[in-house]
Amino acid sequence: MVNQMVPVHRCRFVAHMPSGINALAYGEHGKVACARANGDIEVWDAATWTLERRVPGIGGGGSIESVSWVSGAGESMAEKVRLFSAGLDGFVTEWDTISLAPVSRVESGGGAVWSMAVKSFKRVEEDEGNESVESTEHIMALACEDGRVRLFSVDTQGVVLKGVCDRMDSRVLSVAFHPTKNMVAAGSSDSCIRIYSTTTFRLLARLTVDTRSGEDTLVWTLAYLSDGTLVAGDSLGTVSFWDMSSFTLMRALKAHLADVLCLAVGKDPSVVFSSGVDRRVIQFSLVDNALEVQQNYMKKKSSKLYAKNWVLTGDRRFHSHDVRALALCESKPFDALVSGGVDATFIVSKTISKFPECKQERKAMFPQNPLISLAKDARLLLARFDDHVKIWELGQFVSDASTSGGPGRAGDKLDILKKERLIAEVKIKNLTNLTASAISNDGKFIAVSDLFSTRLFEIQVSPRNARVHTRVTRLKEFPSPSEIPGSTSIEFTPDSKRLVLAGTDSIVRIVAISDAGFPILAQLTQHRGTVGSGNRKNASSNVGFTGRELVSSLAVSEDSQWLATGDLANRIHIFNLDSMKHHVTVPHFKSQHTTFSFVNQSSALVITLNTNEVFMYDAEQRRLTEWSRQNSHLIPERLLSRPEHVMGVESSEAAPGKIVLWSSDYMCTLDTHKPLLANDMSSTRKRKKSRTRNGSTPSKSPLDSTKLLPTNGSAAIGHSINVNDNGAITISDSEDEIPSTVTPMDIDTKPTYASIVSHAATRTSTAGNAVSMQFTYGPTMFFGFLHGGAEAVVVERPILSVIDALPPGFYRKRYGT
Amino acid sequence: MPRSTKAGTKETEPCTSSTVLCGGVPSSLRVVFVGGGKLFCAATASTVNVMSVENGMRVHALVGHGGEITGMVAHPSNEFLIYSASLDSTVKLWDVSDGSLIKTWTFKEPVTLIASDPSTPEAFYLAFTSVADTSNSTPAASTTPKKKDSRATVEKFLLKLLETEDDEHSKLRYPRPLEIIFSNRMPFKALHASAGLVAVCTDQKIWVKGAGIDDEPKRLNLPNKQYATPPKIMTLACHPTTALVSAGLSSGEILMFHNSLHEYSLTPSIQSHHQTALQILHWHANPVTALSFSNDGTTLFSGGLESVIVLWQVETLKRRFIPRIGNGSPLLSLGVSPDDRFVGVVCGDASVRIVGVADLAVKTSVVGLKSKGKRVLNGNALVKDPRSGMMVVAGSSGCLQFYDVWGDVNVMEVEAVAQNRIVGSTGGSGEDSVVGEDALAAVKLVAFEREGKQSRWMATLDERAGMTVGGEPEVSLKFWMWDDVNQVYSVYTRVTSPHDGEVTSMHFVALPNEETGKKTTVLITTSLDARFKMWELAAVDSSARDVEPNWVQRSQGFYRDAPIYDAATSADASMLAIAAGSVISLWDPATNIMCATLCHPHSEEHVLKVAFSGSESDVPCLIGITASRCYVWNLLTGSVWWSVDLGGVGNGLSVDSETGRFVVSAMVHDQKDVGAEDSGVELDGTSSSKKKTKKVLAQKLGTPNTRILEFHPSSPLPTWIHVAPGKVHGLSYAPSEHAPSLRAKHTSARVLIMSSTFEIEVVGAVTPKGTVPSTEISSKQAAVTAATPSQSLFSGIYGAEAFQDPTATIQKAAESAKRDSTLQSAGILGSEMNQRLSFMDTASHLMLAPVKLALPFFDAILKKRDSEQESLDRTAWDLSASYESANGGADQMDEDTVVQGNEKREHISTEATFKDVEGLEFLGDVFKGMMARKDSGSANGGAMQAKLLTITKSTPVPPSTPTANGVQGKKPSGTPSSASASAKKSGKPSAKKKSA
Repeated sequence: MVNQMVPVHRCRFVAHMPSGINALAYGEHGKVACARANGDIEVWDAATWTLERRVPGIGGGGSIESVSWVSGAGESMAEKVRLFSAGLDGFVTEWDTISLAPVSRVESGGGAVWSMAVKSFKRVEEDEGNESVESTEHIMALACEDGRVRLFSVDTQGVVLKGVCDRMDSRVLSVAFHPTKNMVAAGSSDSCIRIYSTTTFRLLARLTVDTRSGEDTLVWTLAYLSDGTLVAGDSLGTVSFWDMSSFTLMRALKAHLADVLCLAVGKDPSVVFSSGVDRRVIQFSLVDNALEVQQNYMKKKSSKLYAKNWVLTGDRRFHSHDVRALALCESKPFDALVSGGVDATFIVSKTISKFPECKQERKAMFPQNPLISLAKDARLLLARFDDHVKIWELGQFVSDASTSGGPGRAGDKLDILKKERLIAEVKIKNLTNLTASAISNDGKFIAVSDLFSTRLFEIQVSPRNARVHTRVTRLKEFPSPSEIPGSTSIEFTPDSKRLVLAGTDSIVRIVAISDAGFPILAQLTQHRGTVGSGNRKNASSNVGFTGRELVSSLAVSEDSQWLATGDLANRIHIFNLDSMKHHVTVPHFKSQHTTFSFVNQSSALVITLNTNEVFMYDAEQRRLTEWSRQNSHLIPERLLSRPEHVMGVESSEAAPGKIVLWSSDYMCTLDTHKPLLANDMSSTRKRKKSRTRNGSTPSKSPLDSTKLLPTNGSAAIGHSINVNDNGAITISDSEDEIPSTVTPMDIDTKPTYASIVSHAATRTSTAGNAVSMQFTYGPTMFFGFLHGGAEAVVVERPILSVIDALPPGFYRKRYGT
Repeated sequence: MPRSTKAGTKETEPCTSSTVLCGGVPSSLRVVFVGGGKLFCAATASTVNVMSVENGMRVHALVGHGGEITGMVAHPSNEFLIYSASLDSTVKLWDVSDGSLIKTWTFKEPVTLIASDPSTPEAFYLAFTSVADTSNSTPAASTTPKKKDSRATVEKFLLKLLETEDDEHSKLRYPRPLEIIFSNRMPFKALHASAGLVAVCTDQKIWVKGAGIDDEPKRLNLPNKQYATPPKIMTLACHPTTALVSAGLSSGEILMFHNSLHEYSLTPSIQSHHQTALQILHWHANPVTALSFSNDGTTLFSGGLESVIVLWQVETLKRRFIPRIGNGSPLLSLGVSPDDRFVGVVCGDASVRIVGVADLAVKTSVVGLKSKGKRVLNGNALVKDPRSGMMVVAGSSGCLQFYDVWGDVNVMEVEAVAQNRIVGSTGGSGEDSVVGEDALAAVKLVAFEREGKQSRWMATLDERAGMTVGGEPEVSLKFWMWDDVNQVYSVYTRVTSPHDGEVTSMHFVALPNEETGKKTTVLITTSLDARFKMWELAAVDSSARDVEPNWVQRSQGFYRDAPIYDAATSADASMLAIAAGSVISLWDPATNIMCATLCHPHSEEHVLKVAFSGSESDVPCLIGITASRCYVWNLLTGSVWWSVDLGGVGNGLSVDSETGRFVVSAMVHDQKDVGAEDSGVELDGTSSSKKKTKKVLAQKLGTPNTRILEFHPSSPLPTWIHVAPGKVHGLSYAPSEHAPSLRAKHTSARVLIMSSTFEIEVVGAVTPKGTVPSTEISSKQAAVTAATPSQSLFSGIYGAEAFQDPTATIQKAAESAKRDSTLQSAGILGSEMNQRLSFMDTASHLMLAPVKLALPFFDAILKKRDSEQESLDRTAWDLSASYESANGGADQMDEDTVVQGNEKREHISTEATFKDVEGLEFLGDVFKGMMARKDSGSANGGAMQAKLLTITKSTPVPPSTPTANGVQGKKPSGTPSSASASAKKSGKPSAKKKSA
């Protein structure tokens, strides 16, 4: 075992800004759609709370105000769930979640769409043979800028205008369908809620909410309960409950201090969640306080009068900024409330039926697949943003091992010889937000893709201190979008000779990079499955799924011989890049894989699942490695129980046999030369049981001493913020190969947060030899080794620096301030 | 209106009675509205007061409970009936229209809580706390049950007003419960019932149960929040018609358990509105101590330490506020009138306020006696306001309360220390904050000008803690002038830090101004810094008309750097007595000349209280209290007339200016009061009153009691003795104009005491019906005594009392011997004093100094050298020898005495500093030794005097030459001026005149 220290570049210069969440929608198939302000629509898996895929927003397309899942329109697509979005660009867009491309775009006809509601109902028709045929019909209502509610019918052909409701004088802000009756309610900016008939499009009723003198109240959100009660949230902070049989106000509760922006209702008509500008998530419950008392006494007192009542039964604050969207996931295994807002944090509150006491889970602010790629040889770092990429050259430290006469201690700060520098910022003329990017190991090429086209750039890095600017030239010879569509994932082979592109059409293309041109060497269509035969029976278990699915992961072995591709149907194929042939299909795992990577200069492919299980598959021998067969079921509970999934797998040449699994808030080192201890494990079955019971909450493992450390929380940020935008280099203890300590280079004297953590991390690592976890770093966007494994790079993104960049939240004067 | 008369010792020993007039720790029970919303009931200790909503006047006092009242419930249908439960194990039903008791139910155990089930008339929930183990199940024991053995239950009873003959319950001694609803180890804290459910709570748990017999009790879960310290449940309220239960927490949160009878469900379902839902209302920052629903169920009233009533609209949680209700004091409970028009708030400052719900304004305010906790004026908690005759007590923090104890009416309050009343600033909560508030500002002393109804001036001394750097309290002396137009006291002058040390007493005295004939009012303050100061209104400068004169320091004096505990002035303001250390120095307040000193044998004991005997018709004497004894000095002789061992620590003294009597209170500690052989409890049933007394005393062992003794200055035999439990905070004679109302009760009691429970009680000897009140008898006796002075030789020494009819005195002594064993010595003294010839056998310290004996003795047996007139002069004016003359020698001294007596007082030594004169008791010791040697004092008179003079010469400063012959041959001085003059002759002038 080589005991050596690995210097770590601790980078905080990648100022990734997540964009705010505008809308959330929960689909019955267990997916949550999350529309962000930059137009992206994320699809989260509600079972594991993994970000599955990201539909890129159309550049300059305006923000999406609402998303909806529509399940099955017509018989042929009975099983398919369609994703619709509507936004301020005035279009209703249906999205293909596999190709990530819009299927159809229909103009609303009334300008910006502020809200969208979809209702499905069964319609029984009598056909000619007098046989009743049941069909599901979908009707969509759009709240338009021009003061009209437009009704569309959704069928297999697309979205067809059905009718336009009577005009009102003000902007329509919210719509909701009555669950049973032919009514649609529309909340407007003139303090009114109007009820229209969905058959005649005429106004049925006009409900007026409270106003403050001289101002109109905005009815921001509407929802119908399954018993027909209409719930409205307005800009006064009032949540009002309306009886739809008499169109009268039953109860108005001024629960919020500021505008109510969103409501969440489930099947249960007695629970409503609301949230808004004051950041609080409030639960309302319908209680029945009626007592069974003697009749003669009750006759005197009108007891029934106040027996049924909506009361505020819970109040939590998860967010730092306005909450824009709520979604209640109440299918059996999930039972959670998802909230999101301006602070761009996707928060899952688990076991929502115990609401005020439920636990919140903040999801990482960056996607599962890293936005960052590293040129290991050229020491360049590429970061992808919505419409541009940036390239940095990493700094250099004074090599101290020789000068100081021995290895330094963990946590020592190294002197900086050269600081990191931004060498290029490439603005891409893109149609949509960027979907994938990669930089070649030699740092000569970068490949960037949006939804429709993939582009290759050549970089000529100027030397330091030179006056020449770095030149980035787009290689026009690269095949046009007609040949190579947009990519969902891009990978250069380590020898920088070839480019692997996973296209939005689910075809993996291998392009050679040569001076002569960029011939497409192979088109691998395994992930398209058998087109047409796809009949997705069960979305969560993809066994036997043969249809087309989005290619989410690519990995090339160090010797550029093996290529692994994986898709969201959990199919993993391994190709031989020498022969350009399909080599083997990795056996199907029960859980969706999150990432995989070839490690240790071998053909061993480490695959991590969204249950945090780890498997190692030997591509050459076409079977799980010996280590995996003996140890994969012994993965310790403290890793399995982490709610954050592994984002990447790395290995260093300097420490063969060790693999690093990193996630947004922890790093886990597995020593494949040592067996996992039996007492350090828990069976998969046991773990799954615990997950279904209380969600994937952190376990109370005795080894989990790191709980006292901020894992991804805000406490870490306070220390880290003063080293913002500075590269940092450290030395690390080598025992487990993980750089454990960092000292930012611009703070010389102060003991840093990082060194405190390193102690705890060291303690942790001694507890289990084969597995060590450490929580040294703040929210980690990226981790990787530089060439030869002698240096490591960590890219952090502290939450506070994100929040600092956001506009100030709702200010409320408090007593005593 | 007397509220309750204590049975106590009176049953067997018709000695004293105590009648509670007012005050007491006010109950925090909910106010109950009765009589169609026109009356309300508020409880104080064991009394239910029925008061008018309209004006707060008391209509009836429902007296009869023997223990603290723990709950009141209005009759569900008859609005003139009210039930009250008490720790005396009874529930009583009262008619508030005439204040009569209708029925009493007795239970086995003290009733700690009561609630009624409005849906079932005559059904009641009663909470009991029983102590399982010990046989001692007195109410006092069960209020503080031990954790292990106590068992608290809530039981349902049917308390029928009319019971039929065949009703089996009527035959039972105790009512039988219908069912036992809750049972718990810890005592229950609050109990409330509404139609259909009953809820009960302890500090941490709440249970509810439906009204049905087969309903199961259900525990309500408190929110699972992370508190630093889990909050306590303070109070409980049930919605009148629905299954909504609310609870106030010490964290300020109000929990609303909707649908409380149903179970929590963990998974949401369509039926989830059949689950309990918990709603949390959080406005209060401090504990919520008062909570009530309106009777129509639309409003929830809540109150707490903030002095704010919050009206929550139950439906929408909209809030309205009624702020500043209790003048900064916590709100203890809220009761709502049946028509929801009024809320009755019991505030922490002993007041009940009726607040109109419609206009959110206080309609009626009934302020009780606020004396509570540490709010006791230094020295004496009861001070009489001479102008109004009201008693003045320290009210809430920094306030003085003027209280009519006879009518139990708050007259007015004077905020002596202006302060911001910020709730929670003291950091305490609940009862603790009351203490903290007191620590912040407190009126320590108060004094009134003694001009009867014409009194204009009041002086207060207040302390405010933490206002100065270094943590020293800020002390200020304030002079207040009565404003006749506005009928208020307003601050006239404020003096910061009037003394360096703690100020111990303040007295106004009106000095006659010889030039103008008007009286000048002077305030005398004494302090532990060994100074006493006199304050007067500065002379008005005629040139500056607009400038109001201020109170300024006129002079200050000291005596031997001894801490001064008290001061007193004679009724005519001719003499000022300063209790400096163990010596009382007598001064002329007009000229600041020290006239004399008075000593007592126990020189290690400081004189704590001093007072002149009140009655003008009596022998002028001075009363002093030390830590263990009560002394009476005869001012004519300047000697201890008699003294009595108080048996405990004397802490109170009050003189009745009308009869001349005075009362003394003493803290009696455990083993001291009862003799060693009597310390065991005597339960043999002897009817001797003495043993009964002992039994009472013995039962109170372990808790200090206060013995209150009334004396006439002429006799060491107390006219009566009263034993009050605990510490008596103050005592005072009531103004005599109230005596007729008391006489109707056949009691001569005029002494008001503030008892340990902060009730004001009137205490006095009990006279059997049909006889003349003993007050009159004793005053007659006193008059007789005063009228027939003895002409004998020693009458001037021992006072007239000693020479009364021997048989009567013996009889009296025998009576007193029965009363209290601790006074046996006094009794012996009294009886033996009759034996004239054996007076030398009495304890030496009880005797006058032989010096005093010697000279009159010689005067009596020797022929006088001077004429009769000269003799008179000599007696009238003391031989106030100057030091120079005193040094002259024995023979010269007599000469000087005569000469200087003729020269009167103008010859004043300006350097008089009595550093080392031990005073009379020193000389007394000398003679005591001589007496022990059986030397015949009368035979060797000359030798004695020679000896005396030798001794006095050896002391650095010559002593006085005492002369006690003033009395002899003359009638006892009836006028105060001659009394003071005669007293002066035994002292020496030592005055430092200082002008402010």
